Amino acid sequence: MSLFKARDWWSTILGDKEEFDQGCLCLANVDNSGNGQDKIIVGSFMGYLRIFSPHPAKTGDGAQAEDLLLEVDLRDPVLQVEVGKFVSGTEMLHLAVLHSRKLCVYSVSGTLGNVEHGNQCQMKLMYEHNLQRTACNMTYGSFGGVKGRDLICIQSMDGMLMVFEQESYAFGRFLPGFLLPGPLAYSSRTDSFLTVSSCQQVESYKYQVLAFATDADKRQETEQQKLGSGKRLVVDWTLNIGEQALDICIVSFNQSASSVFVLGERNFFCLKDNGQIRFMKKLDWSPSCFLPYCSVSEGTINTLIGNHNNMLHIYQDVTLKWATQLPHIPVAVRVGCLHDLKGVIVTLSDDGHLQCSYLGTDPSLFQAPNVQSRELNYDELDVEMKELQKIIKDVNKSQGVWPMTEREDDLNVSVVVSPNFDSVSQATDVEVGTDLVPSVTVKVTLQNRVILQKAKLSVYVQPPLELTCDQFTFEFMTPDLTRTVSFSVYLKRSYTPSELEGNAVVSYSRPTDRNPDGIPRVIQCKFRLPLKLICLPGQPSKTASHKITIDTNKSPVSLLSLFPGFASQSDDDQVNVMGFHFLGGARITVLASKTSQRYRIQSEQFEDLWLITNELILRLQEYFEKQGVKDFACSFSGSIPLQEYFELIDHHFELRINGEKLEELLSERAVQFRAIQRRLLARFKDKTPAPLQHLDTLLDGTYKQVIALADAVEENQGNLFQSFTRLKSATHLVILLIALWQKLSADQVAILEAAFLPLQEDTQELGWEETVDAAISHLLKTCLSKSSKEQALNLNSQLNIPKDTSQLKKHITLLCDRLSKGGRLCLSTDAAAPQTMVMPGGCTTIPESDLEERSVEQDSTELFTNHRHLTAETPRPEVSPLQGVSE
Amino acid sequence: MSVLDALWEDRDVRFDLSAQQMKTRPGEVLIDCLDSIEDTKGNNGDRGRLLVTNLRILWHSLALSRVNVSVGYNCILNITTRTANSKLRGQTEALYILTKCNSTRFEFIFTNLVPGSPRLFTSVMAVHRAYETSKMYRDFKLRSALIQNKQLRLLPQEHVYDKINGVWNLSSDQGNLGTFFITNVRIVWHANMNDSFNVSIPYLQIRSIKIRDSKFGLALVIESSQQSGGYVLGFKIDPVEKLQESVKEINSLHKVYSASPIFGVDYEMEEKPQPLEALTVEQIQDDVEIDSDGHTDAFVAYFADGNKQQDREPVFSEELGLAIEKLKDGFTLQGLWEVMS
Repeated sequence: MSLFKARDWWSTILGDKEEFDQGCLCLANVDNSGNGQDKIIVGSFMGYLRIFSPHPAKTGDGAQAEDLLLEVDLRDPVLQVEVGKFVSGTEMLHLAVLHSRKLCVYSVSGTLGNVEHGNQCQMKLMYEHNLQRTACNMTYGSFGGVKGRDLICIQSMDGMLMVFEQESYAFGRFLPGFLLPGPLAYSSRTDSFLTVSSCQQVESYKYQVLAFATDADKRQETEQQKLGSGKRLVVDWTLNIGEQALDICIVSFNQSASSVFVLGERNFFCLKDNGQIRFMKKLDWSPSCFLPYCSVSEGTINTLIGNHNNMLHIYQDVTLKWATQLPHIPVAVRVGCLHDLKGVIVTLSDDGHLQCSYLGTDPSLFQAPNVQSRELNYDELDVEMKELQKIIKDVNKSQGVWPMTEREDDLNVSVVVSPNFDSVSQATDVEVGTDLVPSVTVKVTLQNRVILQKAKLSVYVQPPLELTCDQFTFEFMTPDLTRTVSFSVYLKRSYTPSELEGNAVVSYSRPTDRNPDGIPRVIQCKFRLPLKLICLPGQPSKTASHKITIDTNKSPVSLLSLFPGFASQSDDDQVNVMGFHFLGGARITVLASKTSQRYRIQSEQFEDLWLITNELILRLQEYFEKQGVKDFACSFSGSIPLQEYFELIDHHFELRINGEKLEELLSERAVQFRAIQRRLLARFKDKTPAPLQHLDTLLDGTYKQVIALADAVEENQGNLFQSFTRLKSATHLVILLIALWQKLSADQVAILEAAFLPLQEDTQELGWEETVDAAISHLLKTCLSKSSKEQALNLNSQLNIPKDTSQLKKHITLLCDRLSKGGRLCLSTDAAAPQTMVMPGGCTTIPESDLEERSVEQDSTELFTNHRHLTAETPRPEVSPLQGVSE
Repeated sequence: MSVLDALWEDRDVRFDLSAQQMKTRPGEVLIDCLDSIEDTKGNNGDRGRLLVTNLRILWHSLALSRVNVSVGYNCILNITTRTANSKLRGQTEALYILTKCNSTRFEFIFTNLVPGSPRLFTSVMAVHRAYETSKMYRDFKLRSALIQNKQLRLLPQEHVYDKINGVWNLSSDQGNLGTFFITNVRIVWHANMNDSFNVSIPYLQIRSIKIRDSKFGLALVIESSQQSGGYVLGFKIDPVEKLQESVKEINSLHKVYSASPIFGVDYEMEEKPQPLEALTVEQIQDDVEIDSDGHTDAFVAYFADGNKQQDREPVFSEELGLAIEKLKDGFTLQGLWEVMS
């Protein structure tokens, strides 16, 4: 980029939204005025022709109204304007205007008035030629060496050179091998036309050869334009320049030699008359226009080259002599004598900026000094600085993304489980044996304190329980809005869920000042579904294969008052026995001892005991709490029924192994199926058909096998899922029993639950067995380890499906053993620190029971409002025993 | 005084304007208002507001409203977008405006502090374009393409109120017979014999309208503003009654126009900005009297070419064969060029 700028001598902006190009600018004394001053003639593609005679009173003044000599609307696009001796019988200069289908020659004359604004200018049409072909450009000169007049040659878009001898048409010739028109120029010294063809070569055609050549395509000629006959048109010389040309110019500043200048897209060439290269110059910028304008010293020629970087370069032959910056990209450049100033550079941009400039000789080296004239307000800056530092300090102190002190509720979530069943059951597609599956309505109420965005409620219940709808979206555009949604819960499949607890989670974004998109937050609220949703009163049975006995430290309570909704018998003496019938089919009997403080729960299936046992303990606790008894405690003596538990583990594992086998088989069959398909395809494609040799039967058979196997896989998956639910129920029961047996604290129960009930899904690749085994092994090696030697043992980092369950069983047995021997579950690093195992009276309760502070009576409304926590907090496994889950 | 000679808004670059000068003049309308614009050249690091009216661009600092700039569209040489270095945004696309006012070139760089918003570029460029393409409303024109089939080519907001035949233009010895078109924007005369001999005088450029005695008898004399060249145009209408009637008409139309000028800069924004009055911050009167002619040096920051205020006159250079700016004493072209390259 040059440091010099072009100085504006006179400039104007032409028209509005008009377009201009290379041929649109011409400098000449078009009105043949006596002083010989050049006028600027500009034509536009919009059809306007303007003639200017700039004479600024002071350098750099804007254009004055009187500078415009003439403006006419010619209605047709002006492609090119030239000034020459175009009218016969006179050597006066006339203006030739090339339109796309017309060539017009005008005489321009001025009449002087008394004052500047009294001068008038008139354009008179001398003659016009309507063109048969669309014109591209034109050149003029004394073709054939005529004296005192200029002939015009027009190149059409399809490659015909049409020569006009002033008022009459002479002849037209097609250029050989023509594709697209290039620039055209006439060399008077060699009397030939030069163009750059689509073959990217400079071609020279002698005027004489053109005049006598035959046209290949005479049929299209009209009567008037059919004159030529003779030899085939041959080119005089060609020179390959290897690129398209923008412009061609022939100059001879001294009489001896003329030079052909060609401006390519990347290079600039100077040729001799015979097509030999005199020199070429590679250009660094993409050029837009050029003009060889004079010869300053003998034998060299100065050229102006404008480029698309708003620069104008001045070369003396190949030496860069000057460079200047223009305010626009020039599409045409001329040099002329205007208002007695020689060497004015006239440039035209494609959007109509016409500027006459001279070269500035002051380099713009210096950047403007940034004056500090405006005083700074130091007090204000000090205050701002302090404020910013305070914010930084606060952020560093709280160490979080946002201060954790914001404990106010952005959003209140409360869940109400309806005490009664829906009058019309909402259950659909149930696979439970019984005809009527009840459903219960759950109502979730959200109330916001501030504006929240994108609030989304998701509800989850344990399968096979099902929700009618589990996703809701809200917008809280204004504070203190209350939104309520309700949905129904019902049992979908014929087995028992492992938990009756549901979870409502609301995620939302809370916009803050610094974060308009909002900080994502989560609120969680748990709720409990009534037992009667999955369970009916049933006939108690005296015998059962699985029994567990729970001891308490208080006198027995009537089962009727514990389970008021399940009293099937009216007689009071039978209240110590109660039967339950799950919708899935299982029957459970609860027996309350009349004499001792014991309760027995018995069933045919081990895992079915869980829900009732849990419910019984919860209700007992509530009952005593209501009575005002503080020190109620349950306990479990006797061994943990691990054998029954192991059977369930084995069953689950068996199904997993089975599933794996089935999938393997399925993949084998699929491979076989594809192999047969390939064979068959090869047979069918063969040109000489060979017998199928029962391949089709084989294909059919394999297909059936694949389908059968896929069905089996699906069925197995269903079974596996069901089995896993049972296993979960049993696991809950075992944890409960261990907790009661060893009187574990809530923290320890949480650790056990975390170990036995991993949160991830049970899948073929990563199943329950290996996950639990790894967790238990970890517990055994850390807090339950006997010696430091055991702690050192490293765990295999990769979890794979085990060969059998013996390892797991061994570990579970060992865990129970260690716990019975006084082992304590603790995950903190100071695991060695002793802690009293026995919690004082009744505090060690089952975590679920702490969720409610109110009665979970069948008829009472179950309302949960206090259970929320923010997931953004670091998750801590322990559950504080008395405050619910709010952390 | 003509409306135009009092009108400086579109043909001047001014710095540190008073609150009075910041207000819109009659006929000037606020087109767009952009908050959070930085004047990257003169007040880098300062947040300000850019107001785009149909005559000029106004920028003022939000912190200190007396720090302001007014750039008339007529001074603008060109507008480009380029990368600039802003204190508030770092390297960013900015609006470069090169202006020339009384032979001094100023450069302005405005940066939008709201990332990804092209509104700064689009509205300034579009309104400037609208200004440039509506010069017919404001400029005194001679010999331009006004007449088509003996009818005046009307501008979009223009209405012809009267057409008077038989008007002699007294600019030449014998006079030229022509026709007057009197519209709500301008007076147009054209010669009946030559369409391209015509004159278009917007009321904006009229300095005075009088009836004077001339060698042709009583004539209507219209004097154009200094800025348009100060032309004195004489027209003769016969009989005298008709002349007086016409003068009365032109005079009253000129008055109407002066009260509410039509500048012809039409640009529709999709969303209407608030009126300028609502956005103008009332300046707190300082209790210290400010010396009004103590000029500020605020403009120094905006010079386009270093500290150069004016170009030197052109001379022909034999060395290049072109017109060049006269060299300073002791400098040669060759020397300058060799130092540079």
